[in-house]
Amino acid sequence: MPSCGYNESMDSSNGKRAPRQSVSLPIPECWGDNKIVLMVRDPWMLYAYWEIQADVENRVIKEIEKKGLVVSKSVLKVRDVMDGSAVEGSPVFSSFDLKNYANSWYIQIENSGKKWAVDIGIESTTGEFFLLARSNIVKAPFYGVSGIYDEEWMCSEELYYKMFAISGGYGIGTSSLEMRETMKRRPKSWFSSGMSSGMIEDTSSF
Amino acid sequence: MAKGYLALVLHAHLPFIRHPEYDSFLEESWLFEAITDTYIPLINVFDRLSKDGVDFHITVSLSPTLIDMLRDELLISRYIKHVDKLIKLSEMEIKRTARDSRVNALSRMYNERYIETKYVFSEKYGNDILRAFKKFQDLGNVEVITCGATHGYLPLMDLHKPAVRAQIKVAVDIYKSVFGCGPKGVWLPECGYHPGHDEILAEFGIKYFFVETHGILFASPRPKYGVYSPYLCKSGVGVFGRDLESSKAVWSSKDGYPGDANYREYYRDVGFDLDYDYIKPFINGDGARVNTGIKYYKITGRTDKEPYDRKDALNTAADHAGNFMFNREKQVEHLSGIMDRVPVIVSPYDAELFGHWWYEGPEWLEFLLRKIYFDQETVKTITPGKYLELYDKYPVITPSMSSWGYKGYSEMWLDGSNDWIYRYLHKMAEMMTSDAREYKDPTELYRRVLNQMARELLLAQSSDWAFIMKTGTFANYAVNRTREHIGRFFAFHDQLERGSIDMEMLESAENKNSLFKEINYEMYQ
Repeated sequence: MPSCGYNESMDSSNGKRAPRQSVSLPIPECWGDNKIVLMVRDPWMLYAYWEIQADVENRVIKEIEKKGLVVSKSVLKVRDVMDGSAVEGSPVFSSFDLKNYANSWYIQIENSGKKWAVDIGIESTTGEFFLLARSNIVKAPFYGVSGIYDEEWMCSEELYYKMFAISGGYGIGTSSLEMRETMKRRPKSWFSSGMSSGMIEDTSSF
Repeated sequence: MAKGYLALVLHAHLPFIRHPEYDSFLEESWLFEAITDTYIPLINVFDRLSKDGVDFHITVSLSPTLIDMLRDELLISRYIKHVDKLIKLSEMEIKRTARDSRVNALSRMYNERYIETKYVFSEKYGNDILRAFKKFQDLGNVEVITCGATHGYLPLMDLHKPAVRAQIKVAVDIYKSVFGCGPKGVWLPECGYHPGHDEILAEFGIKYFFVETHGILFASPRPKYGVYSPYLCKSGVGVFGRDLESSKAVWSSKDGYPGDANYREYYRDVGFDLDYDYIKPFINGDGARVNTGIKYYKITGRTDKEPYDRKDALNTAADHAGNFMFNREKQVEHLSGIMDRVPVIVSPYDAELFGHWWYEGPEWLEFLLRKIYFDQETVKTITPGKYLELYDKYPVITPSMSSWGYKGYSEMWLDGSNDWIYRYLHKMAEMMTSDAREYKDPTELYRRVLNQMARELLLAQSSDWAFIMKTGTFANYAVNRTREHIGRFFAFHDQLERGSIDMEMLESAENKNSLFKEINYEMYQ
């Protein structure tokens, strides 16, 4: 695992015209940090990026070898953090082998509204895990209706679901599929960010 | 008394694009087109309604970047040149189309509109259309609200609360400088809400914000009234949810009004249709064909396009306004029968849809507001600020994290095309905070550098860049802009550390990214 990963997407661009402005200022590729950062994308997906220093990695490798073990692979462990619990010892929800100098990862989770953290580390051939860095804790939103009621503002189940339906509750997500098509056809010359974002369907395909 | 209310919300925003280093710059025309096609037509609608004594209530959010561009001398002078060119082109078009009476009538319509646009912009409002919005707010017709400073997408900024706070603080400061009071509400950029951010809004006296439908429906505890009543967060800030039914009526391409065959076709513009040598003086400086704004066709169908007929289009807009009002009446009648308080239907749209994309949008809005006032008693328009005054108590909930983007969360701004930006944005926020804490009593020069670093950070955070990278159109520009702000931020940080400031770079940056003149980096402490 390199201490400073180069992210190819930094150079990616779909624009057809050459940039008219010179971008002469370099942007750093790393800062000498040893950390992993976790972000929430949606109820089903997290995103982690990291920067791991070579000296930290070497120290951990030495520790593994000192124990008479053999280094096997770099691993990302996704932990399901219970309320009030420490990340240490929290159950591992999923685990990924890291390859090809990855420095970021999209992580699928279950829609549960739970808290999550990730550990990045090195695994020995015996399966023992040695930590390189631990992320912040995040809470993913729950995609669904809350099971919590407010006694002061109660109503019948029938009325509740009636209001839910009238509000478009059963149509949530429909717009997302339509948005996918929207993205393919969207503005050829001018737009505002919010304009397309808020669209339920495309208005440009008449 | 009305059985229910309609809260129309128009969100006006453009990213900060200003390139003094070029004589003309293609992307600056986004602002010019929005002024001509959307902002001035909306102002004209509000003026006509006000003059005719129509009691209407509407909410308009003006993003701080848009506000600063609308009061920027360079952009104003360039806009006036832009309108002058449109007037000249429309004059040439009147001559060119003289033999075709139908098209010629349209050439004349454009000519009259551009002349009126210049009059409204320069003479009526003295090159400051923000005065118009202030006027309508003071009259009680328009509730102007704010947005994030640079339209930064806040849920993905949550890791660094001072960065979220700065987006709100700068926005509130800019708002006060124009309107003389704090904003009642905020349009969270991309309608992006993360639980807890309401506490930051409360700190700045903001009374309400909006969330996407499922931000309310998936809230905890269960929301009793669906999206047809505001709720309060624990912080005391009100939250309104978007109504899907009324949104769809305008946004939807299958069933939405803007797709009607009688409306003007956006994609047939003389900038592309006419002889190159003829149109060259009116297109982009580099010779690339662009839209000019003069369009002669109606949507018609998917293939052959027929000439645009303004009268037919306006009749259709009036019909659609009647249909929209009828549906809201039915909606309100149904809701008022099952709710124990007066329902409010919240219909937010991007302002730039009206006039720019949907040419007849402003007229549709005018018809709608007139009809609501004159033709029925069931539904009345209201602003969220006014609705919150109706009751002493509202249910308390925690809205769900949500946005109005693709799939309703953050995927639009976090995917393979744009995820590389976050390690920079987060690091910049972290360094800005630590630098702000380190330089507590800086020299005037260091203060300038720190303030410019804050501007570069805010500009890099603009959700527009990630969005454009995702859509692919203009991606080069978005990538370059992001890299430019990142590069400059780190260069200034290094200069502070080394104790050697590059004055040329500082002055150039201050000149180019000249927004937020009163910014104070200490907000990151």
